[in-house]
Formats: sequence, C-alpha cells, structure tokens
Amino acid sequence: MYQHFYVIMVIIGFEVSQDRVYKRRYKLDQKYIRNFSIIAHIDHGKSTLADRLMEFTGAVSERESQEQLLDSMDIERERGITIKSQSARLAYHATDGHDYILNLIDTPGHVDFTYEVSRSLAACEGALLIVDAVQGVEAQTLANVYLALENDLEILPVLNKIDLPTADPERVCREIEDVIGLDTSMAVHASAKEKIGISEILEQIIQLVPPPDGDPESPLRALIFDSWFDSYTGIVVMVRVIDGSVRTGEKIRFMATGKEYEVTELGIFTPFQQARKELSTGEVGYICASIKTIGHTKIGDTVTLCGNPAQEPLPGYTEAKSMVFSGIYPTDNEQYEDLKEALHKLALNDSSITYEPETSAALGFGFRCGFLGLLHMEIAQERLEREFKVQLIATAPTVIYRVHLNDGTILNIDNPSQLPPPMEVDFIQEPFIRGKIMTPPEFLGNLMSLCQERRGIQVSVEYPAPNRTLLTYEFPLNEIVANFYDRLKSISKGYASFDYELIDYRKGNLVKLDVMINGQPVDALSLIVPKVNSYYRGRELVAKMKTLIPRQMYEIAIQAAIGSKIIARETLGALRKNVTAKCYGGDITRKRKLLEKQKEGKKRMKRLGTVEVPQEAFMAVLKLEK
Amino acid sequence: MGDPIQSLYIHIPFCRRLCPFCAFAVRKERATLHAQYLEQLLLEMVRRIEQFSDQFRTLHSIYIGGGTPSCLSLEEVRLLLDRVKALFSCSQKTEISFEVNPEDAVENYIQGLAQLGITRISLGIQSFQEPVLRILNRNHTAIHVLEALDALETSSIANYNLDLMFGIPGQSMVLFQNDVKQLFHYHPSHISLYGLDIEPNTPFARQPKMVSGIMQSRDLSHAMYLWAVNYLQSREVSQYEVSNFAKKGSRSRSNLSVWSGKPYLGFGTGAHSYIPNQRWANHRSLRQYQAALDKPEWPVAFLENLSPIQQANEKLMLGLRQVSGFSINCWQEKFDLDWPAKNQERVEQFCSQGYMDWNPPVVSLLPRGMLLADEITEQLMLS
Repeated sequence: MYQHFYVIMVIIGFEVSQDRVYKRRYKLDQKYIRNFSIIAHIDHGKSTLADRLMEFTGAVSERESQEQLLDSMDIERERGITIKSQSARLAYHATDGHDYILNLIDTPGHVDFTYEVSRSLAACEGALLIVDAVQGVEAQTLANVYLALENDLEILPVLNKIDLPTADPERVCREIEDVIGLDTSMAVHASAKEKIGISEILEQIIQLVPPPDGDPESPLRALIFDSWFDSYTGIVVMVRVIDGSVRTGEKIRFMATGKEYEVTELGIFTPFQQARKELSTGEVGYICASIKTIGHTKIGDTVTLCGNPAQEPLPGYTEAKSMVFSGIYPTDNEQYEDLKEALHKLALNDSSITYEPETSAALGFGFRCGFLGLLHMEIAQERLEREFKVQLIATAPTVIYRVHLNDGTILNIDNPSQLPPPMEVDFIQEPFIRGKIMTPPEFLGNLMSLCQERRGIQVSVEYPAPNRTLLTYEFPLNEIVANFYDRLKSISKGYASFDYELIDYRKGNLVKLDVMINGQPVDALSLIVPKVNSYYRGRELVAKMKTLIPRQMYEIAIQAAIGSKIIARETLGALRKNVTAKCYGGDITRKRKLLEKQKEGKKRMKRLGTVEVPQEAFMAVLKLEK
Repeated sequence: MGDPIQSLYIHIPFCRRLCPFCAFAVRKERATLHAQYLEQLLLEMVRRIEQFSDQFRTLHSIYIGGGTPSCLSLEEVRLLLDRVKALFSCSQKTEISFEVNPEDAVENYIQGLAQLGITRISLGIQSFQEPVLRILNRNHTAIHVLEALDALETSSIANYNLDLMFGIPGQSMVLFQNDVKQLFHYHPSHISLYGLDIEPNTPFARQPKMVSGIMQSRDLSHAMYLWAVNYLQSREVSQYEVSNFAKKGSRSRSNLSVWSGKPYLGFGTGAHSYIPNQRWANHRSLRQYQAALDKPEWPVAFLENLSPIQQANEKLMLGLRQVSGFSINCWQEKFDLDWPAKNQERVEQFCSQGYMDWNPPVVSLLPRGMLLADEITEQLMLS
C-alpha cells in the first residue's frame, strides 16, 4: 500500500523535474521573439506582402500560397479586404546567426473595425507601415498609424509597389515625413508582387522592433485580439501572452466577463494550426476551452489563470459598440427560424454583431441588428444570404437617436418607427463623428459640396503635402451611413479616402418621414431626417421607389408623409399586359422555364398587403443620388 | 400506358425571307435541299415508328408547319403525304393542316393541296395594310393577300385559318379594326390574333427603336385585343385560347391535343415531341439534324423528363390560356399535389378584379385576364 504510494510519488516527481529541464532547455527566449502587424490602406498591398513574408520564411511554399493566404473568407477575397484577422508564426534565421520567431498579426482593414485594429496592434511591439509608392498616404493609413502610435509601436515605413513605372518614392517619403512625421531614411523600397525588399523588411523587424518585455514569472495576462467559432473545438481565442504562461489543462478566467474555462488545447498558427503544450511570455497563439458563447471571449479582454490570477487586467478594453442598426427580416415568414439560427451562428463568429427580435407590421417577425458600421452590415447580410441561405429584407440602416421626452425620460431609438409622436418629444440628439478625408486637390470642390449636403461642419482644410489635401469635418453619423462612402469614392474617382471616429451626441432638428404604399404606412420604410430637407428627401425617395417596384396588376400609390401631411406622391401604373402570344408545342418548355425564373425572382420580394416589393426598395434611401 | 399517339407535327424549315420577329427554326430557302430533307424526315418517322410501334392509333391530326411549307412544290407535298399515309394510319376524318404564305397561295397551288388531301389551310396574312406588312418585313404584299384569299374562297377547302398581328408600332386602332373587319369579307373558320412581342435573339430585339415602339404601343395593343375578342365573338368566331378563335366545330385539333397534354410526335428541325412525362426537341440546325440521322443517332438536341411539379405547372399554364380553363382538382388527381390555400385566396382576388371566373372546380381567365396570363400563371404556380 505505502509502497504503491511511494512509486506514484516518484513518478510524479520525475515528471515534474523532467518538465522543468525541458522548460529550461527549450523555452523560447523572449529576446528572439518579434511581434508585429502590417498596417496599410486598402489595396496598398498588405495581404500580398504577408504572403511573401510567409513564403520567404518557409511557413508556406509558393504552391501553398494561394493568392492572399490570410484572407480566407470568400467575401474577403472578393472585396479585397480583410475582415477577420488571422496570424502566422514565422521562423526566421537572421543574418546575426540567430533563429527568431516572428509573429505576424494580421489586422482587419476597414474604417468600421477600428477597435479590433487597435487590439491587434496592442498585441505587437512593432508595425510595418505599407504605403503605396504611387498613391501615397491615405486617410486610413493615417488613422491606423495614429492607433499604432497610441500603442507605442515601433513603426517601420515600407514603400510598396516600387516596381510600378509611376512609383515616386521620394514624393511619398516626403509625404510620410510631412503628414505623419515619421523618419523615412530607413524605409525599405519594396514590391511584394515582384518579391523585392522582403529580406530587408525581415532584417529591419529583427533589428528595430523591440522584443516582448513581459515578466515570465508574473501571473498570466494574455490579450485577446481575435476569436471565432469552430464547429469542432468551440470558440478559438487568439491571444498574445503579455506576462506569465498558460498550459493545456489549466483553468483560465476571462477578466472582463468573469467566465472560467479549462484549456483543452492551445497552440500556434504557422499559418497552419499546430497544438503546443504551452504559450509563454511574448508568444502569440490560440486557446480552445470548449467555449460555446462568443460573448464570453471579448476582444481586448485579458485571460488569466484561476489558480494564480493577475491583479489588474491589461488596459484598453472597451465593449465594441454597434453604431449602425438595421432590421433584418426573412423574405418568406416561414424562414424566421432559419434566420434566427443563421444569426446565432454568425454572431458566434463575430461578437460585434448584436441582434434582438423585433416585429414590424409590414415585414412580420425579424431582428433588429447592430453593426460596427455600414460595411460591416453589408458583409453580415451577404454572409447570411450566401453562407446560411436565408433570403432577407434589410431595412435602411439607421443610427441610435437619443430622444428626450417632455417628462424628462430619455429613449435610445434604433428604429425610426419607434419614434414617439412629436408632441411628446422635447428634443432629439443624434450621434456625430469626426471624419478625415484625404484627397488630391482637384476633387476638393466637389467633396466639399458633398460634405455640405451631408450636413458636415468644416473643422479644417490642411495641405500636408503637395497634391494632398486633408479635410476634417464633423458629420451626423446618419449622413455617413446613407451611402456617403460610395459617393465619396465616385466623386473622387476612387482617389479620396475616408476615416472617422465617434465624437458626441448633438441636438438636431429631426422629423420622422413615413412611406405609404397604397395608403398603408410601411413601418419598415420610415426614416428620421433633418427637417430642413425632409421635403426634398421625401420626393426623391418616392421617385426612386417607383423605379424599384415592378408594375403589378393594379395601380400602386407611393407616398411620403410627415405626420399626417403627405409631402410627395408617385403613382405606378398597373401592369396591363403580360402574356406570350404563341404557345404551341415548341414553346411550352421555354415558356414554363421563363415563368419558373420569374417566380424565383419574386421570391426575393416581400409582399406588403397585395404589393410585391423587391429587396432593393427597402434600401431605396441609400440609392438616392444626392 | 396513357393516351395513344394520334397527332403529328412536321416542320418545313425553309423560308424565302427570314422574318425579323420570328424565333422558329428556319433557314433560307433553297429548292435543291428539299429532296434530301424529305428523305431525312422519312427516316426519322420510320425510326420513331419502330420505337413506339404499339402506341399509335388512327391519327386525329397532322400539322405541317414551318418555316414555309408552301415552299414545297405540289409534287414534293404529294411525296411527303404519300409516305406519311403509308407509315401512319389515317382516315377520312384525319385533319391535315398546311401553312401557306400569301405569295404562294395561287389558285393552282391551293387546288392542288386540296386534291392531295390537305383538309385545312393556315394563311399568314398578318395584315391587309401594306405599310404594316413593310414594318414586319414580310415577303408578301397586300395584293398577295387579296389574291390568296380569293384563291382560298374558290377552293374546296372551307376550313381555313387566317393570322393577323396587332400591337405593331405605327398601327393605329382604326387600321387594326379595319384589318379585323375585313376578315369577314371572307369566310375563315379560324382566326389567330398575335400581339407583336419582342422575342429574345431576333433582329427586332436588337433594334432599340422597334423595342421602344412596341413598349409604347402596349396600352394601345391592350385595347386592340379587348376590342377584337369582343368583336370576333359578335361574329360567332369565339375565343378558345389566348390567341386563337374559331367558329363552332373548327378549333384546331393539333392545338387542342398539344394543350390538353396528349402525346404528339414532331419531325424535322427544331420540332418538339411530347409523350407523358417526357419532352424532346430536335436540332434546330439543318446540318446537325442531318448529321445525326446519318450516323444514325436521334437528332435530339434537348430532352427533359418532367417532374410532377413541372407537369402540374404546365397543366396550369396551358389550362389558363384556354377559355375552357383549368380544373383545380387535376393537380390532386394526376400528380397528388395540393392546390394551396394561398392559391385560392389569389383566385378570389383575381375574380374580384375581373380577371378570372371561378366555376368550381374550374378557374378560367376573362379577356382582361388573358392579357395577364403569364403573370397570373406565375402567381399560382408551384415552386
């Protein structure tokens, strides 16, 4: 009996001591780790450069490197942007003779995802700033550089696309120095496409980016910078270990949510998933702990050990807030459960999506969904339709209005149809943003009139570099939500770039604009608009809707109203003829197929009373050429 | 086994001029091609007879259409009919229809056809108005039309159809009404009225002016149609399908068998055939058709097996196009498919709007509804 005990204790003791030896001998020395991200404007070549770095360090072979390896979702590829960040651990033998571990932390690349970007940057000590050697500094480059500077990162400028005949590295260097204030004397001249400058970049990372400086002996503090749902392991959490270390089997706690789990697996991405026993100070990797709720693993939160918890979480955590809201309804009411399931699954992957059940008199049962921004909304809707095969009607996006009632209560309204009648309302506040537009000067006039149309308040016009103008405006967020970005792009032939941050809530003179179809108000089409241009908006809106609704078997009246006052009306004449003259033996198949196609098309429409309204009509307000 | 095969369609693809609105399988006329084509038709028939030997009964109808069958000489028509009659069982009562273009309908030719046993002629006059014929780029003139009608009237063939078109850009209501009224200077037993449509992949579809002209005359053509349905009824030529009107007892048997879902076999380029649950179409190109028959293969370009839902939808589509209407029980009886409650709601709505009549268990379209037959069918179809 005692003997048995003894044996067991010896075995355990042996195991422990062996493990210590292993740790001492093989444990990664922090000074050979470099954690960095790549910041760039869309299209300046971030993803291509990431691919090259992986190829160069042998993380993937050229054959494995599909175009832009890191952007794995279809939609990301099609739109050429990164939505979910993914990272890769690269092994690099430097010219100083040492082997280094480079953790590349990919960042999402759009204005809507500023918070996510800031958390990815907080996981790094350095960042490559990629600037297109033709196009120069863009508004988004600026925004991300500021985020990197806030996080105290070492920023290494890289001029990309140096191979293009129109590349002007000297001008762009001057821009970087003048606009951002970074020294460019060391800037690498590179072409990710032509594989120029890749080894110089890697060497600079080794020499200039500081190694992680966390304390291996302190209690675990790991920063979550990404998480997603995997159907086999549950939620996968990407972390950067700042202090201490974490091993498989240990109990961890998410400090903001207080939830506790046992680590079932952890490891790294190379970019292929590889399980490890431990993640230690300075390392970047993933943790799985049979987590089913993505809300428990918030980006920016700190992971610690239950047995030896950290006193303080890492700084910088904030709750990601939805800025833009839209009603999402199944086209076919019978798909409600499918939509609910799809939203649930989508939210598993994207904690920044919020959704709550909502009912509309016109559209039936659906959900009010919150998004970080307009692009985020579009992507989510596209994924619902594409990946989850649900056909949707989405209402025009709106922001949160703060409605102050006469009795002193304050309502936060994210759906225009909920706005109380005018006599109960004291005043309404709407969210304002500060927007920065970077543009070549030739588009300045048109961009300024666009800003004015969108109720923009000019803050400053700066000329930071020749051929570069930086406009700063304050806007009601709602004006940005309604198609601003597309208009900006078309006015400037794609040259202007835009970035924004939320600043405050301001009082506005706003009214509710209702739309009626055949005399019936359609709650899902209501909008909150500034009183000054409500008449104009109403007229434009019904005129646009007339072109979007196909003729039907009866006349359709489309009206816009403020309160009980009709301010605009369009009449869509009845469809009077829709018949094929000939239908003989040879026509039957063709005709049946034609009708089948027509019917399939109608499935994408919503029946309001007796009127079939296509999906696009609900977004008509976004299609107005203001 | 269901209904026996009692209906044939024979396609003669040749045309002297290709009409800019036509989507049928046609090719430029060349008399030297006729003999070989007729041989190939024969070959195709022989092989189908082997395939379906026990399923034929005495034929109800043979329809020789095109293209322009009247491109064939009387001798060639004789050859064709002799062979058909030798291969298939025909009787005195078999309706044998033949399409004739006005420029070919001279007295000799019509008399000849009658002697060869043609019992019904279809004459594509389209209009009595020269300007309208020019817009349609027809090969015949208004004079041809009058001469053809004289020839028909003096022949022994009393059962004949006249085609008219409406909704042509530039055609006024009065011009159209004159066209319809002028039909009654003669004694057609059957009238087909076709609204001009833009068929995809036709020359008209590539002429923006023509497309917008047709779109603009839509309201007018709507009025023309309703007027004509009413007028023809008053002259005892009643509507029995969207575009077809007949005196009592003179409805086209070929049409009726196609629309009621009876089997039929089509021969020649682009011809369609139907036996229950299956439809196929021959190659549209003469070269491909001939090459396949030479190999020998079936000259089939397309074949579909119809699912119960597709059959149900076709039944609905064809039923609604006919004045006799569609019996809602037939879905249940034939395909074990329910007539959804939603459909019944829509039927009631269509009735209240004056598009439809509901005599349980039959729904049928009123003239205004006929103009929306595609829309209404689509709304009631199963998916």
